[in-house]
Amino acid sequence: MRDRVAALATRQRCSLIGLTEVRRCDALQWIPADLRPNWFGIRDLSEEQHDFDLCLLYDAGVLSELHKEFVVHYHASSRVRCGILVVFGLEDGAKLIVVLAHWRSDLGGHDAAAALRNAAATTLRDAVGRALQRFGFDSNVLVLGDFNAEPYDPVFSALPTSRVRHVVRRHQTKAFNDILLYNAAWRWLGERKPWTGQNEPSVAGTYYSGKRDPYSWRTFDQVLVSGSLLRSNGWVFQEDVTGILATPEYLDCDRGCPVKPFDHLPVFGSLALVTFNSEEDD
Amino acid sequence: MGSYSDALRKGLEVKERRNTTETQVKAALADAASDLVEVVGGGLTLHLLKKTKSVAEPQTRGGQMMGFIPRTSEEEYWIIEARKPQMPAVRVAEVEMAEGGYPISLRWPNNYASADDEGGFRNALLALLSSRHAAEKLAPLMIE
Repeated sequence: MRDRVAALATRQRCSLIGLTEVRRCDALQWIPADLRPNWFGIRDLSEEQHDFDLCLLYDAGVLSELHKEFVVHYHASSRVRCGILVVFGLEDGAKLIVVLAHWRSDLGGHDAAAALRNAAATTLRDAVGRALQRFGFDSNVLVLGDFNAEPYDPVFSALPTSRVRHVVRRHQTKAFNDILLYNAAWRWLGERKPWTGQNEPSVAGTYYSGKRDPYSWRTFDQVLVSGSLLRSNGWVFQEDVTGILATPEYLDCDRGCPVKPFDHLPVFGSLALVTFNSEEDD
Repeated sequence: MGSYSDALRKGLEVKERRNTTETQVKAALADAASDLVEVVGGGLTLHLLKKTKSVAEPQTRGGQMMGFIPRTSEEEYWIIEARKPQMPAVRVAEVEMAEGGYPISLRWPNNYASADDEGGFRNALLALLSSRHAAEKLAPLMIE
């Protein structure tokens, strides 16, 4: 994991790295020493012990931390960690609300797990909405996560998303519980590359179960963005360079699965500041 | 289209659920306060108080580009306040309730906790009271 995080910070030149299944440790130490003075890490430091932790690493030279919240949902005696929400200031004064989430698969029986995931989704929706209310409805929103749910899962009604950019662009958030995000992960539902007659390993999602059955690949890791990032000017979501990282260091091409011990492939993306574009936005 | 009497019945049900939620929250705060006596000393009470704040209304892109100042509206929210006789009141957390009561969200520095039933709220309250923030707020109220 150390080498992967270092490669993301150096070779991929990431300014923000979200880790959803790290054992309790100081992941900031995985950032190369020459970069580390500028990097900060945010993780849930609550008293409750978890097998796996959420961790957000960021370059403070690019992102200025303004606010953070650990978002949790309580139902009866159950406690569900919904995610980490951080509000960053960007170089041009714009705001970026980043959410990192990991909805665990082992939340109980099928119906109980679905109910808790729905509750987590609703809570995250409200937390994002409240942040928009506080920091401005024109703030940008970026949600990253391992949701243990596919883009078509009903849970994405509770955290409203769409695969139609036009609908998201036109949506105007009128209240804290009225957000709508674009889900870029719909593009990752099938095989990453079309069949061309060449035998290539199957990569049909972001998570590999290890079972050789029709459902071995799932698209559990997703990237959700607000309509404010689907413009021609300002901060722009670069969907053309956003996708699943399936290079040989992450993908075992012989076995057609993530390099062990990992069962997920990383997702990589980019936001760029476009200061002038003559194309009109509708 | 439903009838107007059905609509009013629905509104009355929402009001009833909201009242029930507030009653449950106040009961949980009373239980917490009586439990905290052994740490903070006698006379401590925890209150759910209604406040209002101005929130900016969403703007159209045109409005943003023209530099219009967004209109503001008054939004109701709640706080949990700790009181002890002859001592200044202390705000411990902000609370937001849905129109029909649950879900309730509790907010304190670095934390957003949501609860969708009474048991969940009591657990969220436990999480609040076990935080460094609550300790810093309540420590001045403690008996020497």
